[in-house]
Amino acid sequence: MTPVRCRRLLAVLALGCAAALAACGEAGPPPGDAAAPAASRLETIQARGHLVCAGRNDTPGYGFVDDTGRISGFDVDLCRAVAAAVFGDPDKLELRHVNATEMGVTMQSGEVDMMARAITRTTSREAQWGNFVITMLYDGQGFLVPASLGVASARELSGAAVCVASGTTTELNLADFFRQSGMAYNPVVFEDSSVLLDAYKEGQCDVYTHDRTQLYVLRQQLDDPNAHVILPETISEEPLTPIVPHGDEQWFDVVKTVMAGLIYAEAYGVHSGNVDAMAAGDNVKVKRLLGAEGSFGQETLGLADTFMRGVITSVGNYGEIFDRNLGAQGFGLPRAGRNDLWTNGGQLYAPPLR
Amino acid sequence: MSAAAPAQAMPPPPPPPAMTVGLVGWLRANLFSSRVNSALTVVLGAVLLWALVSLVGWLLFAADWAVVTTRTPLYLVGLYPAAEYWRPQAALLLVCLLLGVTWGRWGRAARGFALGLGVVLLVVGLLPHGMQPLNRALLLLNTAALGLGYLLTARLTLGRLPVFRRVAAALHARAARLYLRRPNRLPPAAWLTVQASRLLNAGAVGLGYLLTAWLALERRPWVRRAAAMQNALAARLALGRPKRLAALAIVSVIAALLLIRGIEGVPGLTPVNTQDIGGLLLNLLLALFGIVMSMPLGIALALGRRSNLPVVKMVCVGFIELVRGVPLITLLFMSRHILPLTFPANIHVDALYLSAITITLFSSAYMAENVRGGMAAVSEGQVEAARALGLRGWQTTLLVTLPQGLRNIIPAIVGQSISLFKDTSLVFIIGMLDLVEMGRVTIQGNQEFLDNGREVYVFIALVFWVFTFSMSFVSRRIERALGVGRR
Amino acid sequence: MTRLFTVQGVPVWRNIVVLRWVTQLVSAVLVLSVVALFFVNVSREIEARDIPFGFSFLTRAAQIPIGETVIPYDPSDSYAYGLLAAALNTVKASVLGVILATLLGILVGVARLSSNWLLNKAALVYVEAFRNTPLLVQLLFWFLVVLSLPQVREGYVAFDAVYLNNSGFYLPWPVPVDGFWLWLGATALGIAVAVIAARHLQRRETESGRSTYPILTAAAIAVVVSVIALLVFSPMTLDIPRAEGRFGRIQGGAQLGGSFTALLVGLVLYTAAFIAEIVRAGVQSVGKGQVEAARSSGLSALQTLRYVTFPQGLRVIIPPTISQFLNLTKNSSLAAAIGYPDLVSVASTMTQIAPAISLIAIVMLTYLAMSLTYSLIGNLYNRSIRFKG
Repeated sequence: MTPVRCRRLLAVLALGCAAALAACGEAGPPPGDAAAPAASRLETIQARGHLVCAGRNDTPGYGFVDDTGRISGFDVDLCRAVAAAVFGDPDKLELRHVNATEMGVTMQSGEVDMMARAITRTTSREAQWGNFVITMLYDGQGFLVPASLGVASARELSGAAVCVASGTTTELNLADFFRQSGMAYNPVVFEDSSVLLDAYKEGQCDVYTHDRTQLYVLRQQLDDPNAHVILPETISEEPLTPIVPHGDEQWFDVVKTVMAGLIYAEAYGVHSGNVDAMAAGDNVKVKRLLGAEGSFGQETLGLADTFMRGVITSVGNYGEIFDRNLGAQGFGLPRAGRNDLWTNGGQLYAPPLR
Repeated sequence: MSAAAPAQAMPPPPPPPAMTVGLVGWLRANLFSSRVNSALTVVLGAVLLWALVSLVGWLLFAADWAVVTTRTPLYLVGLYPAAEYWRPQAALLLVCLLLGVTWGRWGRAARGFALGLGVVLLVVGLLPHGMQPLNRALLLLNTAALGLGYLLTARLTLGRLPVFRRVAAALHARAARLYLRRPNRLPPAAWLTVQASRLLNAGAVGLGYLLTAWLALERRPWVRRAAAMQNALAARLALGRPKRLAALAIVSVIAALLLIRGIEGVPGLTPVNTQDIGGLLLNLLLALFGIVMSMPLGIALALGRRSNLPVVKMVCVGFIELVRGVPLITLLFMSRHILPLTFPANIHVDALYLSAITITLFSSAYMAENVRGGMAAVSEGQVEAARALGLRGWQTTLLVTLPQGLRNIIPAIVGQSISLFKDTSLVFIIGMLDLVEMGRVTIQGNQEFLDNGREVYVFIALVFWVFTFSMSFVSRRIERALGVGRR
Repeated sequence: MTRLFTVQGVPVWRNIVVLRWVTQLVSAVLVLSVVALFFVNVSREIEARDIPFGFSFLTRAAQIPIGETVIPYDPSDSYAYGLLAAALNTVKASVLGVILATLLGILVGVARLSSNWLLNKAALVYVEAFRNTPLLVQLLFWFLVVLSLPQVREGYVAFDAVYLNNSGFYLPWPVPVDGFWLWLGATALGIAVAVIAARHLQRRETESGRSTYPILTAAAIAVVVSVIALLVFSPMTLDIPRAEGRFGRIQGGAQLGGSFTALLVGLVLYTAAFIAEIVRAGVQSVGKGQVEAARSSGLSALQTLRYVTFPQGLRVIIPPTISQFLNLTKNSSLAAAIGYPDLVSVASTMTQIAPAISLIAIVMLTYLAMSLTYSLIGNLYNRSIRFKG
């Protein structure tokens, strides 16, 4: 008698709970959806008050912690330029260090506004990770070896131990190259570039493979740079390009325009020291760049007409950024060649500012 | 000698053989007790001596400590903006004051810790390295704060005599009440009270207290109100029970955290980007949060696991085993990159908070197992006695099993806290610049430091060791105070 | 009507059975909805943001190099095989680590109990130093130590067969050839005979009270049979490492790579410090009376430890030691920092092309499986040592 009633009661309770569960299940998702028809990324950034840029903090020349406790470098300056364009202040910037293996997930989850980390533009990354903007550094993978080994060509590297950073295209290119050439090799794979350099320096591996510009910078860091040579072969194409997440065309255009602006500023001879003078000058293209006359789409992008003035005053033009971090004042990386402006026979070229 | 003479006085006992006392005796007993032992001692001694000599030689002569000394602030606070260094300094000052109060209040257990910290601060403040003189001075000020905190409490209790304590407290409380009631006119009674309390304290109280007495005579109402507050606080401290001290601790820790993070809209306290909080400060913050939060969580999980409700039990067991079964770095990776997918798109969740929560959850699973072990060790008789006294199930657990269980596992809890502190170095996997990662970045980013890896790692290991060793030191004191293993 | 809300005369809100069911249902609903919310949200986001997910990649060619493997591996092998190779690397590191850490831990634990002051304190310093600093720092340090060994072309060589340099430690290693299975069979037979003989001798010893040395005899039988079989079938050849090519890299033999050596040293020294403390506490947990009784019946200090305190302490020692083994296995995931291709490190590399979420899920499941294995061993042991009677 009573047990029956008890069971009935339990059944009622269970039903009630199931209903509650169903209600929960229905009530669960909405918050995300409700917030979804959200502001554009540019508005989100402006509301947040700073730009979130993924990069590195451990790679001299590109992004590293200097003595004063600031992160500086070529990639960092690109981020700073974008922050200056959005806020007029290059320091409204949150730099997030991402390891090579985190690059994909970081871009896909959209947690950062952009990434500048000497990242190679490839088709599959373009499809999966985000939109690549304008290539800011043309590079290719090479080999660094101690001169004492007497190696003159990458074809002679059979049986060598090769130091390579994990989680990068470098690692894949290396495997391709050795398989293609029918040579054996021992990969020495590290996630961390500081450990890699140590391993190379102490001779745990015979060869260090990386993008050639980075090899150049690394070579400058070694005790005697002249005791190491970069082999002539370039085994891959590495257009190093900043990337923004998929899904916001306007933001993609903003970053693209800032990068183009940096390149054209150099082409027009505008640098951090002469912005005001140039804006007052009579070159129409320069006046358009600096927002003194005409427009190249600032309004549509949601930026101030004169945003490039702030960018160039605080960060400088492309040439200044290159020289400061990698070139003459940095690690002495020669500019001549592909990374020169198109006007000097290089490959650096961007959509015209119109 | 006559026969009447008392029997000869007992001859003094012969001195123990020279081989069993004194230095020689100690040596024989502890180092050369047998042939095997002697051989062991000689060989081991030679090896250790060689190791020690080469270590000291390396530390003093071969090692180049510039990699540590020129970048000290970076190791301590990471990329925290240099202009705001005063904030972590002030936070440290608060903590030191609190530690001083704890020392005055609680005596033995905290004393060693406080003195140790004082020595470390002195050493860091006085050794040559690249810290600004101003920051250095602030750092040294902390040692004074330790002492001040101690004086404030120790003297207020006036030799720990309850009578004096109570009188002082009552006077303070009365003064406080009077101020608040009549802020503008000082009635004679109030004045007398103030003077009495001042007399009682002034002689011994030290700088902070004199300041109060002076403030109390001020005419401006807000100053008086502040004085009243301080009097009230002093009254509480004088009567201080551990509960009050704990409240004080919580308040100052929260204040310290706010100082470090900053408050939106308060001039001088602009919020600092959490990405910039790094170095040792990051390790300490993560560890503090983790230790404080994983304790209650761990207890809850342990109780859940002991529960006789199958569903609750299953959920807790599932969580514990799942978390304990995987490495922390995979959990950190998951929480950094997968978890944010479950939040609405516009919510920007900080890596700092995510990693703190992940570390806490990870640690709580281990804590739960410790707590369960401790509670299982409480004898059945205790439970039966409690039930016989009429306590309900939950009362038995909360009032009998749990407290005894926790007492059983103090070393395990501290051990877990130490592991948690060490595990904070794993946040490198999600790109955060903690002390260890800062060391690596320093080596990599600077040509001149490329060969100084050993120095950096030895330094970092030493810093961690100082903290973990003090934790186990305090744990041994608490254990002794609670009489674990002696009942 | 009110009677509807009572069960056996007790109102429902105070009925223990009802309360328990309600609590359970509520908590189940809560947990399920949180979990459901998590999966619903994640899968929706995965779809919305085109985040690659799924396991179809496992059969494609991995195309990534793996530095050293237990099983032969080539970049043209599939992802699944690559992950297996990496998982076996983790197993290799953890199994070797567990064995060595146990040995060292017991040694140091016994040293902590020694009456020799110097030995005792040296062990204490070791334990306190290694237990209290982060493993990551220790690993990085050991890696630098390994790096400071001479380079491969200037390394130490013994008998042209054993090489030690900063790329690793190389030893001759037997490789099975034709007669291997015959030899294995013969050895198994020898062991079986030895076990039977040992049982027999043991019984004789118990009956007669005279020493018959059962263990020694059995070992001798097994070894003799195995050696004779070895000579008869010649089942293995020695693979002797040699320097090859213009770079003088060592090929062949058994090799412990530089990173692996650093990892192993780091893991063993770190874990052994914990095991030493467990051993010490376990031995000290044995009642004082036991020690006194043993000493007064004429056993030496070492014999007391060997025959009385240690065996009794095992009951306390084993369970926490097993959890240390588990910790060691999980800690081996730090290998990525010093370049040993363990599961986590290889899986991270694979995120280049393969979906990261799937890879991390695989990694977590693999570790879970390993940890459940350890738990199982622990539980079996606990059951076997339960006081009987």
